Amino acid sequence: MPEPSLSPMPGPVLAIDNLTVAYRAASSRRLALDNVSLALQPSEILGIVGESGCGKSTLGMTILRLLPANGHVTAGTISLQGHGDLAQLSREKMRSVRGREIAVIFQDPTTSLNPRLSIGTQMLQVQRAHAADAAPGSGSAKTLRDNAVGKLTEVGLPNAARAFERYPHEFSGGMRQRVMIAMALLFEPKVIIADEATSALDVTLEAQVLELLLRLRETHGTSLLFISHDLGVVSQLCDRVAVMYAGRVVEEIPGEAVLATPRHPYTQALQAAVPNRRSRGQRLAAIGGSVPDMTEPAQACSFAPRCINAMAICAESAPELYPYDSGSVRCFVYSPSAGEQWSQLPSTEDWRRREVEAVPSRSVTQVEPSDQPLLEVRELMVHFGGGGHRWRPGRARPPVRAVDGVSLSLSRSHILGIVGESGSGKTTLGEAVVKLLSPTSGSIMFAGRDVTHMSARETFEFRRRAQMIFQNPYSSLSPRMQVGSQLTEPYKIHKLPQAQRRSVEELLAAVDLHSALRSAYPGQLSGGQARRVGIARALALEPDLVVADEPTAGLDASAAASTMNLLTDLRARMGLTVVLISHNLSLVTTSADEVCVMYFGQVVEHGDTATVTANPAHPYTKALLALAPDPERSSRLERRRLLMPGEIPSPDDPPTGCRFHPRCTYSQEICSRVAPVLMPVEDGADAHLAACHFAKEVRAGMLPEELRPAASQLGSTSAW
Amino acid sequence: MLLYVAKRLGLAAVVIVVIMALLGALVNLVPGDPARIILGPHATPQLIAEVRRSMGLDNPIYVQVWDFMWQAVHGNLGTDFISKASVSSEIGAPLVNTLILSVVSLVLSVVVGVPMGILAAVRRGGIVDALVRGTSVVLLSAPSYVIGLLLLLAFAIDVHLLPALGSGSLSNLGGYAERLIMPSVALAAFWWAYLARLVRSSMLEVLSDPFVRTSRAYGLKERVIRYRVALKNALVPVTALTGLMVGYILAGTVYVEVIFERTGLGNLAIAAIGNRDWPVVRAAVLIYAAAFIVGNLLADVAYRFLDPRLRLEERAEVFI
Repeated sequence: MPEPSLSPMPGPVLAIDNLTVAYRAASSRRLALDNVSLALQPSEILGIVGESGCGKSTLGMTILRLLPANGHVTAGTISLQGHGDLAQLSREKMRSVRGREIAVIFQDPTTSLNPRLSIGTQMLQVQRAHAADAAPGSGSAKTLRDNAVGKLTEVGLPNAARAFERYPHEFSGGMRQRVMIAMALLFEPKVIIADEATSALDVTLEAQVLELLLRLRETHGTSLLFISHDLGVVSQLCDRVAVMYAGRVVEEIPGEAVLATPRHPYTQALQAAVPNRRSRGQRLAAIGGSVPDMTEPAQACSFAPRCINAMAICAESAPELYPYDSGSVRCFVYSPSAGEQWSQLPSTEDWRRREVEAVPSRSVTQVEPSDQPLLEVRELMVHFGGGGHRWRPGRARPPVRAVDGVSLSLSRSHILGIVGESGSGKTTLGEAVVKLLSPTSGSIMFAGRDVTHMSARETFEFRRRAQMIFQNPYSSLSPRMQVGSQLTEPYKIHKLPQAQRRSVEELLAAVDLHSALRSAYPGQLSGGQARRVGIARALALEPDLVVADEPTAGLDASAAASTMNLLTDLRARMGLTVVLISHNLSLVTTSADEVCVMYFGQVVEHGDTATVTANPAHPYTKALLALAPDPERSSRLERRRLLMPGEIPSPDDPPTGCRFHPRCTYSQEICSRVAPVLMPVEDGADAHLAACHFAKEVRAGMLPEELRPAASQLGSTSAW
Repeated sequence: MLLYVAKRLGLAAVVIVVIMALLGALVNLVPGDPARIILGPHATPQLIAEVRRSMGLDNPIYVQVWDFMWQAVHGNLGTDFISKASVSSEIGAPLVNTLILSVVSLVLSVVVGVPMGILAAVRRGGIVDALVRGTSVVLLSAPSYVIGLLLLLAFAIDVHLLPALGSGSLSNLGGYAERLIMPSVALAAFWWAYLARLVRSSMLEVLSDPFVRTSRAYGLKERVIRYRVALKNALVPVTALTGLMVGYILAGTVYVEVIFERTGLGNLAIAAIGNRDWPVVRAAVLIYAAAFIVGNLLADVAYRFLDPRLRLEERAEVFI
């Protein structure tokens, strides 16, 4: 709910009425937005959620009048307080609104900032663009600079004056997104549109950016339109949430109720796909089917074909938004006239139950996990660069220690989750395991053979048995090769006899893809489909081991859930051994048997999933767990209690002692001096290992949390 | 940055030295005895031996190589077999002509080609775009000597607008400039087409980049977006190309000088090759090679200057 005390102005800042937007292709027309009405109150955070293809981003671009050439508004108005209908403004007037009255934060700060101009130059460009209209734009070079540096300081950039001169590539991902936010703040706009602003960040940075956005709302009274596919994130940040499906708003609901009491079956389905405390060890519920392409305004409920609660009426006429509780729902269940047809209200549990019932054969064909180790990694180190300077030995640079002494072992048919922030070395570890990188030292034993000392022929054989699923399916599949031939390419490479080959249809069916996709090119696939093709290719040779690097990155909740389910099913059906790499701990815990938490190239905690999640023994694990959205806790204050300050420090300059101590809430004097070693938390039991001086205390929850004040988290430079 | 330039300069020097060494040995690597060519088929063996000695051809190869390099470094490129004049003085005037022609062609290429590309990109799908693209296809498929001959036919023979042949003299600047027009257009035409296409596609690519969308979303004027935000990014592939352009234009001057009967390094070299006049050939090749290397060096430095990401390694601290 909006906080009424912050602004004296009545009425919404931004009002969208009956907005309809269509994209015109060569001969067809696609409705991206269908009669959308929304109001953004002063200093309100309004969330927009939905799967990809539901029209969320189109909404943001329509507000700014930046639709691509083939998109146009066919009906409705967007009015900004003090400017009236934005469609009526002249081009020049609209230009002066952009960036000054309405600012945007885009998803990927790496590509959204100009790589060849310093961020200072870019901020000055923006201010000069509005020189004629606004106070900060018309000042002298020095006032412009001071304004920009001030904003950079405000978003928590250490040494903002120096940062002003720097180029985007010199910042880490999280800092870059802060720069983007500082740019949005230059003119203190009425409205900020955040289009998937945290989707490219890992969980800790995401939490920090959310925290920053909340704080900015409080200090500036800015209204925020927060577009995201992530129900969990939206529930943590937003006052009010509009759930969109196929171009229509299907539910409006207070932020704290999104995870607790969603009403629309679609919202419930989305929630069932979000991993949380209760879903640990269970299959996540995925919604079958996909978002339909609308060509005409909906004559029926557009979600009905995918809905498990659908009745005859849903396919016959279109529901309206019926008020319910403190929101409104576009579903006949809540309509005063048709609601009696349902004996009980739909719930999230329906979707979870269906998912469990849908796979009865799972336990029948299950391959029992064995204790025979397939993979054993000993003291693995992978260092990059560094070494002596060619002429001056004094200027030797230390290497980047991406993986720094990791030991682990993995039994056949187990799923091992490797979790950590970006920069923790988890991807490097994964690539070393499948021999895409040669380690600096240490050994990797695969089925009794040392991977690091293999002849070319042995390596070729090894590649057949160990495969990797790459993070970005679009860049790891050839764009000019049809899906079918990409899937069978491994057979040709390894000259497999016909008898051992599977047909393209079989391979596609194994990852639940329709065989019609065999002749498609990767560019024509959706994110989820491309991911599945990547998995199918990795599985074509029936490997023993698969390393899956962020298999759900960039997917919306439902597609992510079905990808995770797929991996667990394959393990059950084929006895596949999986190394699952992700920054999202709660996602990993849904399917992994063991979890290995990495920080700064080292394993800080290792144990079976149930133990680690129930009794984390390392503060880092504890913090990662706390970042997962939790439907039971609704107060926002509580949600941000365990925010981790800072980021992983510069890789060539590791902190002394425990590498985590600068960010640790429990940090004691000993932590900055002595590096803890990975050892059993309980004496004698080596199933649960942790590298912390106070592992026992942390596990027992005996240490008081020393909370740093929020200001020092964001303003101080020492932590970075 | 300075360190980088120094490194590249050092590397360029090494390449030049290697080229000089190869040129020094050239006489012995190519069939045909220069002494016999100078003296004709009826010379006595004694006479040939004597000429060979006077030319230093009886020395071991490494001595010949060393002599050539040592002399070259001191600006002495040897003596013309035929005219007996010093090669350095003989090459001076033609070299100036060729350099002027090359530089004018290079400038003409960029000054016309790049704006053509920008215009086509900005007016994408319009008449200007179609015109630019159509012209490009035609020009790309016509080599410089074809264009040169067509220009001659059109402007010197059909219409007596421009003088046809010769290079004129620098003391008569107007006449000199008049005689530069057709040769430099003949050389530049290909590059107009090439640059227009390159700039067009690279500009269109940059204009669809997310950071251009950011600029629009922050209310930058369309003019600023085009020329301040996008152009700097779009010109990067062009700078990478300049090194190559220098080389190709120099090579093109050979044809053009022959067609327009201009005094120049190209014409000189062709005559010298026919006469097996090794000192002149060596000098010409050395100059072409040096020009090529300098062109590439400039391109590399400019490339680095334009892309801050490549400058990072010299910065002491990495900013987190």
